[in-house]
Amino acid sequence: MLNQPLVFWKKSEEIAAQFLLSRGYRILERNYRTPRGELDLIALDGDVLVFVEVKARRGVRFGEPQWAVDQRKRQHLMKASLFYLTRKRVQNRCCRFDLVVIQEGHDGRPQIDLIQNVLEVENTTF
Amino acid sequence: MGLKSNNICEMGRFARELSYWEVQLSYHGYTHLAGLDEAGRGPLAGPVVAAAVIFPKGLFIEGVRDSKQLTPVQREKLSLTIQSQAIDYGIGIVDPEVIDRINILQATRLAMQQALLVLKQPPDFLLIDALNLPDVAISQLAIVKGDTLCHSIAAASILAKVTRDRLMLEYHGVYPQYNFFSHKGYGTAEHLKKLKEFGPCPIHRRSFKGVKEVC
Repeated sequence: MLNQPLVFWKKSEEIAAQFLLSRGYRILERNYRTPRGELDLIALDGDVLVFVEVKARRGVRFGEPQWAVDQRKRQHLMKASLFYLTRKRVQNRCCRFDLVVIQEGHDGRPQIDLIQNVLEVENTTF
Repeated sequence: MGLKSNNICEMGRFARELSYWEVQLSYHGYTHLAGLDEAGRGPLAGPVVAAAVIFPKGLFIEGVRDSKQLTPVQREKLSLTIQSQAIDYGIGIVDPEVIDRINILQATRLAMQQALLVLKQPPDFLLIDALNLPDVAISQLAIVKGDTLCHSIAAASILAKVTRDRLMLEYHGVYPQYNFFSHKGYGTAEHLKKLKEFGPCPIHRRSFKGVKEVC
């Protein structure tokens, strides 16, 4: 019982990968580690290199899933992806950042949402 | 809206987030970061314009953001500020004839390369909006919707947009019947109607859907 959240989390990465595969993405890396933190999934959507953040959560009581990418997360994604890009010497690729949200529905089956381009800077504070 | 530029340390959250790529890349040792963007990929008439901007390290110009979120007057004002504050900037323009010959994607790349050639000193890193330049041997990062994510790209988008709008204004003087003044060559209902009425003029992109039919 104790490690159930961990199991759910582990499984969620797998579910997200399967979901992206069904959407026509090609998975390049899973849990890619950099000194700036981990990148959950790295995939190719056509010609575009996509860094995917996977969020698993139970229930909706923490608000809308889009809120899960806060400023810190955003910076982490940028730093880590830059690390990946320089280490792999990626050239001639267009980059994008996507978010996959997996929620456990009421019937126990996971409900998956894909949000493309999560990094958009909002200027509400401007 | 204030137009003064600030040091990066004392600016707001929006500014920090918009400059994040620049800051991170400067940590990686790049000193001459150029932002690149284009204007006029979609329209049925007129050239495609690209701009490259190199800012001094740590500079943020208040008010700079994606050119589509700004009014024409704001863009004009900001373009002056950008031109005065930037270390260097370049503009590349590719004509409709060339667009028809080599297709719009290649023409956009060509315009960007031209913009880079104008620069007095080559940059050591390119931040580009949603497009890569395989023929340019400079490290580069292409970001989807980069003009909303990155300060340099946003600034470049403003310069490109302002330059193109001015060009279309001049073309309006040459071919007044199409009313380029209002739609800037984009495929609005008015433009399509005029196109049907008068046929294409020399600055129409004949390979584009909507113009091809009336040729």
